[in-house]
Amino acid sequence: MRDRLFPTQEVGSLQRPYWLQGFGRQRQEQRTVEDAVAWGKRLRVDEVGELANGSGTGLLQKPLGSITDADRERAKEIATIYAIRMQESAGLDILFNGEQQRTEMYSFMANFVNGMSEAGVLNAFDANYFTKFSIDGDVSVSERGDAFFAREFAFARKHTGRTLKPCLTGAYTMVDWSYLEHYMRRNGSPRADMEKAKESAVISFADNVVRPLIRTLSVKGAAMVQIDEPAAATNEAESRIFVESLNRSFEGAWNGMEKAVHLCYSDYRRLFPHIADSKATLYLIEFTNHATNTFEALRLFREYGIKAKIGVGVVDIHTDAIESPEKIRDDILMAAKMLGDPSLVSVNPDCGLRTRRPEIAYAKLCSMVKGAELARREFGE
Amino acid sequence: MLTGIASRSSTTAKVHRLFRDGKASERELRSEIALDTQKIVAAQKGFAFVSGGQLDWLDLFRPITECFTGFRNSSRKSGAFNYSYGANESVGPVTRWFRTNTFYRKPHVDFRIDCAGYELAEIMPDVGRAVLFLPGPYSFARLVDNSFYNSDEALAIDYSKAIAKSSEALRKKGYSCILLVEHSVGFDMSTGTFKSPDWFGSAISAVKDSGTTLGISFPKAEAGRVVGLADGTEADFVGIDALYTEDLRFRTEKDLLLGVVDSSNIRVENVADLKADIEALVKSASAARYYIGTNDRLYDVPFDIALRKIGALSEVGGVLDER
Repeated sequence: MRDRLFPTQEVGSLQRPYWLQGFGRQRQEQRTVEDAVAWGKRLRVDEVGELANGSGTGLLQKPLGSITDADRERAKEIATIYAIRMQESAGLDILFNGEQQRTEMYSFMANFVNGMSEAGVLNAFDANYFTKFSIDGDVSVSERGDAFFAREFAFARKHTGRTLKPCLTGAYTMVDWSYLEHYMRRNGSPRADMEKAKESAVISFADNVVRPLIRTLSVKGAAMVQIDEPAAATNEAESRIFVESLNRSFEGAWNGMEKAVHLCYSDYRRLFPHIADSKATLYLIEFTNHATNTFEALRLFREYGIKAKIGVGVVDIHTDAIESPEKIRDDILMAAKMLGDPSLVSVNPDCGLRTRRPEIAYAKLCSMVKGAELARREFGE
Repeated sequence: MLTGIASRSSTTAKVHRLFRDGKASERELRSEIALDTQKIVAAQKGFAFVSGGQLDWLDLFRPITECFTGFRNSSRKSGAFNYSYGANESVGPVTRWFRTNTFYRKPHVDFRIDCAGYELAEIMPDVGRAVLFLPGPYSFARLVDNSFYNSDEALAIDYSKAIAKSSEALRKKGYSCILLVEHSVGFDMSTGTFKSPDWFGSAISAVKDSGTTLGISFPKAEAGRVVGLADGTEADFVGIDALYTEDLRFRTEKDLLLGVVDSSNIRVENVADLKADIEALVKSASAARYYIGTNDRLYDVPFDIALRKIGALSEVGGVLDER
């Protein structure tokens, strides 16, 4: 039996629920507690009683001063169950935990890497800041990091029977967003020094951080892994290094593991021709901006004979407007036509729906699933 | 001199987040920004032109989008710049700033760009003999969305005219230098998409005002490929990225701003190395007069590192002056 066409999945991150955002730091408003309960019941979260109950002993009902570290951890676990149930309820084929136990994709990962230290705070945009790290020693994944990713996956595994995909920030992006003190040699031209430092750091990160983590997840039974690489397509001169880092990272995967890569908001044409050598089996890419370069990239995937599947982003994560199932169907069909093979098309949002409120994210995912169903009908499924 | 906006301190970052969440007042935020500005200005001992780092600019386009007409969802009415203006999503989509993990909101030009002339000066702090950083006309045309003008040329020229209109009020406030930063030139050269626009000289001429020193800088570009762009214009000096430049043998008819302090890495340069780099550049390149500075904005290194880098620049300037 062949796999069904146009499998659906989220890209990784979902916004933390309101009740978790201030948990332990500020008193929960009654309305927030009621919303948490109502949303939990709607999603059929069995653990909703642990948040609030008639006897007033729920996590969200506890006085601020009495909340323990164990309570905080449990709150994150329950948020993970909410995220899983939300994806199941929307009808997604492939799930992950919504990254409810992570803060964001860069600093969070860097904290688990030996050889990286905080350099300082920088502005990302508006009032959003991030901590930038310096690579000032040989990099390797810490025992704490290895244990975290294993535990995070095992917890999600316990709570769903559907295909699960853990997500990891890729070597290229981690290095691209860091200072490279350890790898700078300070001889020759600064530009050449920087380029060499970057290559050494990216390869080392792939070998000593991402690959071991993928190996751990393989051993734990993950059928799929996703490497997030938003920086990958920003510098075409380095696309060879990026692809090499992917291949080295995927050496940690078991035979038959789905090896996904997420790319977003870049000019994907810059990845060619090197991406033809990649061992990735699925690329999840942002698509709804319908920029010329995205169409062109699809054409190039076909022209280069790349047999990896393409996850087309059919949901815009930057607006609250809910895409109609018909529009999503049309996008899917267009991608299938451009790739020349519907079995190569997978369906996802442009990027993680962390930017949208849970109720909007849910509505978008439901619409996405309906759109995929409509597209399958065109092929008699 | 510095060549772009600077980063904010971790304390200011914290208060900025609180302000966003409604837990700190605009006054508190302004107070932290003012403290950071003072520190940055104080570090620039001996600089030809001083900058406060433009720390209250949300990116290189805001508050231009508030000061000049022509932009979609511009919210400024009158009076002093309100920090919360321009912070909302309606300004434009979050867009990656070249090859960094930082972003800007892409402005959308909906109608004619213009201004009365007082607006930019009104929002700038008084820091002495100062330099103002603005996107160069080429970069401006490349980095905004435009549904009003029929050509990049018309867009760039009106933008340049608005800057020129602002010059007198800026000069009265102490801003006797304007540095047009052309980030897109180096980037487009690196991707093979750069085509020298035949309107570049006209756009620069449209900015030029007799009392203002005008510079153009080209971060992340090979100097030999960009100095010629400035040579045909009315700019007074051209800024080059000495760290990105491999071939030091280039000539320009303009004064030269040597970007020798690395704005992308946290290692603070030592004065002896900087002095040697500068001497090598002066020996190889040819220009009438030299400034020294950073190779790009100090927005990509933490505030305390930025201060130390400015300090190194100030120190080497002193050493060279003694000679």
